[in-house]
Amino acid sequence: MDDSRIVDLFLNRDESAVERISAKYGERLRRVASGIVDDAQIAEECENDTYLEAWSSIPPNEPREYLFAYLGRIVRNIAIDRSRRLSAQKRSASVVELTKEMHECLSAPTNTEHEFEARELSKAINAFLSTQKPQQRTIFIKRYWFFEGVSEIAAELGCSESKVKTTLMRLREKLKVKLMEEGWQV
Amino acid sequence: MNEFDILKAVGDVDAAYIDEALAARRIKKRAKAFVIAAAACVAALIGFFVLKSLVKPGDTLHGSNAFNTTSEPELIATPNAVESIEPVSSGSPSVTEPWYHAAPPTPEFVYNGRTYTMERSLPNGFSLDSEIVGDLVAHIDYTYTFGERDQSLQVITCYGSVKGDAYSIAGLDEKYALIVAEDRIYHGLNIYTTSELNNSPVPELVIENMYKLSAKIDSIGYEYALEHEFVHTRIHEGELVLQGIRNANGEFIPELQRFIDAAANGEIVRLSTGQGFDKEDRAKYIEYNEYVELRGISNRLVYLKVNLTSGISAGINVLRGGYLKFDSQFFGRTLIKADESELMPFLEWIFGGKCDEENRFALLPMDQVHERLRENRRFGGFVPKVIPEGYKVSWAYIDYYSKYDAEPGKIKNLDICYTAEEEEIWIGLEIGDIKDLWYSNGKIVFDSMICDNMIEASELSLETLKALLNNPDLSQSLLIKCDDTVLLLDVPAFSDIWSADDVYTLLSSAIW
Repeated sequence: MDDSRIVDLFLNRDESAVERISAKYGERLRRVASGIVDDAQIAEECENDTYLEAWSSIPPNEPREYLFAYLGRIVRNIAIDRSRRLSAQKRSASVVELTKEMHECLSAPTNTEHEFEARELSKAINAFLSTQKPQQRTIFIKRYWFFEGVSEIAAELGCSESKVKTTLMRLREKLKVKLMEEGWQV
Repeated sequence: MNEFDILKAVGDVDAAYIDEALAARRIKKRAKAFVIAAAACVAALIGFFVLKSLVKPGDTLHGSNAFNTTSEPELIATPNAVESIEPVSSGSPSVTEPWYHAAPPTPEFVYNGRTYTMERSLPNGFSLDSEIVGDLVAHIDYTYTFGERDQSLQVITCYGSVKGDAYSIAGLDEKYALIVAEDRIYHGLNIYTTSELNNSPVPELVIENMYKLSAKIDSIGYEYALEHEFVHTRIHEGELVLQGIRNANGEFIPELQRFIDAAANGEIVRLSTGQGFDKEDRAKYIEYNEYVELRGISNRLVYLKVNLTSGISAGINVLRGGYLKFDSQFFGRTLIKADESELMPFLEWIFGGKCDEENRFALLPMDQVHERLRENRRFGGFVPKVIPEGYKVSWAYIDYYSKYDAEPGKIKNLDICYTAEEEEIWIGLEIGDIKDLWYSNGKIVFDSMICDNMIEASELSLETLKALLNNPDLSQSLLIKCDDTVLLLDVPAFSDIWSADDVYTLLSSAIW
């Protein structure tokens, strides 16, 4: 079933919509969650929470053209929030790794208006990505959106792991420069 | 806003980029499938024409009638045909896949007339697919205890603490983990078993002996041991460590010697294995000028750390029957002023065995190090050129690719230590297998994933190097990547000792 029809099911409050997205995107969503929470059970919980959130947010949203991206954002945010809570106790290795990598790009400002800054930051990252070559962008997205491992990315793109690592490192450096130019505190 | 928010912000990128990344995966998969299909077609066509040219009408083929022009093909089984079938598994680990994924060798061993079966499974929640076992963020190593003589037991060891929890995993074997609490320093062990432990004969054996040993040590008494500089236990990061002092004649105290003998004879099973102290600990214990730490014991494996007044330090794995192998890997980075020429006779004196270079780990005289390096062409002549004035090469550690790795006989890893008075610097070369996380003494030395200090050799100019060395924030090592080889430089140490020009000259001679 195509995405538009699944969205129609949501709009009509047809509960089979959840089954449809679960069948179509469940595994992929779980993988995204696993990339950050590092625990199969929690990842599954994140996936289920995503369905609930989708149920609550469609309508008013109608992500006909970008359903997976829409669901992906939800599951990422849920997983990141779960990790944030877990981090008070102990952080999974992958979270430590990912957040460290991100921390290289931008130091964490305090006492700021989070939501506004987050939106502006998203815009800045979007603008940055638009200037990158497709393969570099893909590597960045796979790593920081899908939370895929370097070896996985290398295997999928048919390049060496060192190339992926180097590309990521340079992208982070470029992003850092770009953010500095825009007045972000780095 | 923190790093989590930044990750979240990445989540709001344009959906088109998500599709682009997904499409890249699909294109790759399709391309791969296409290449495989095309290759299969070409192979089939070649096979068809080759076979057709070989087979004449009327020939009888075994197992196939594809080219048989007779109406009813005759299938004949011959003894040769049966003999030509290769065994699916020889029982040994495959060269091409990680050994812990390979089919297990004969999974049993005999102890006190009783046969124990080892199952190749791990406690729930553990996985060896990664260098990080669950949340275990520490040095993890796989200890090969199977050699030519006996492949009956494979031991996996991992060290370190589970982050945020109060216990450490001291040893992780085929089916069990020994979880050792640190609540009673210097006083034996508390052992917490998992359900796997309770149901396995092997842990029963381990536990029995651990208690035996613990009781023995307790009976000696820590105070007594200290008073007589005799032998005492302590728990260091979850490991049991025995320390013994040699007597005035340079002999081990009898208790320790007996202990070593018992271990070497297979009378004591493994307790735990461990790695060297970090620098703070070393400073703490350096007052024991001469001591031996017996750090791990198995039915076939003894793991020792030897420290002498001269600073000799090495790990030794001893397989039953006097079969020696060195393992200085974990101690290399804490070594001080080692001289292997003093070590060899000492080791042979202890065990009466012979050193065997066939093993993965070897501590070699420097001339042999040079020779080995010349065999690995890229770094030919590396060692002699890099010795800074006033320093001497104090030790070198080479880790070879073993027969279980991809390139048997080639150098996999090389650490070289230069020493002058109290200062020491070391250089590590990692050849071929670049790991994401490198650990030293239970701490992450650097993570090449997140390490901004990695640079392509071809892009390294003198100016870049100067900028790197003069960067006060550069607390980690500098990685210089050249093809599949990484040169790791301890930058802080370098910058204290050498100028950027010196280092650049060094690198020029080593890499380009």
